[in-house]
Amino acid sequence: MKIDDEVLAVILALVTVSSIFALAVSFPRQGEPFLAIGLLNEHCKIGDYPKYAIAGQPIRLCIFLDNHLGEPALLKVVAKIGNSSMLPTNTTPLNTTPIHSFTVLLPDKANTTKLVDISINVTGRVALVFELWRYSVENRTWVYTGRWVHLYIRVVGG
Amino acid sequence: MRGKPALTLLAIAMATLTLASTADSSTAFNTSARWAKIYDLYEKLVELYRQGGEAPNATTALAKAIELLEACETSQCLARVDRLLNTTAKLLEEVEKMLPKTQLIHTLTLAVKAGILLSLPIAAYILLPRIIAWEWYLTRRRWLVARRGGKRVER
Repeated sequence: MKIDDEVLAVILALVTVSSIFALAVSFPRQGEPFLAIGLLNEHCKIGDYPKYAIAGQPIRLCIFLDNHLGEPALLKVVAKIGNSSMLPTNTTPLNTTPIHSFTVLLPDKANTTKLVDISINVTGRVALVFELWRYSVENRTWVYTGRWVHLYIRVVGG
Repeated sequence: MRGKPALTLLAIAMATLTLASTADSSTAFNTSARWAKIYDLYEKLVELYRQGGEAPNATTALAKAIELLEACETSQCLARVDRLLNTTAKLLEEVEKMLPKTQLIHTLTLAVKAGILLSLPIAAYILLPRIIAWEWYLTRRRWLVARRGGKRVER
């Protein structure tokens, strides 16, 4: 069996490329940081959301949170009531009084689901909005992340 | 004279009520104080994390404290929150003390990993021809050599 120089060069090139690839993969890299919020039904699944509610009586929903900031995140979910013409944007939160809120500390690359019971005291077709806020260690205050979810629901009098 | 015990009892009842209301307002004050402590601990946690000091146990303890504090209605619950916050503070102190060592281990691990991976092509360049040559020799060492056109020599 004769291994000529060309075969040896090919093997050597493969080993070199594999080593460089392994080196690049094994070094820690931070991808684009992001936070996510999702709205789920009372069984913490997508779909089958409530369409109607009785004023003053709680409806149960589930909030999904995901942290990929590259560090633990102190998050607050704030529930507010809006409507089709009054919703938050990616830069400004809804300018109404919160009706419910909860705080969660999420480790990096972790997610969680939280059940929430919300009572709505206004009637008509409303948008139940959940805004995601984050505690900023730089500003030492809560800042709006620009992430929000909403559910249109018709509230009838009790 | 008969009215004195009744007055004493009334005074005790009033004092108890006053103490209870003070305790309530004190608990409310302490809740905000606890949140302030939570923010401080979280800031410390993030600061350590950014420097390479991971504290998963402290994160879990702080997360549990927050969850409890949001649902707390009794003083026993608040006492448990306090214990968890103290545990978090102690764990963060330990991580902070170990931080230089952790950073050194992290840097060394990376350097060793990079060294091993970068030395692979050199090792292949030096060792591969030798391995092939050795394997070539091993597969042929039982071969018997005969002169072309001559007779095979029996051992």
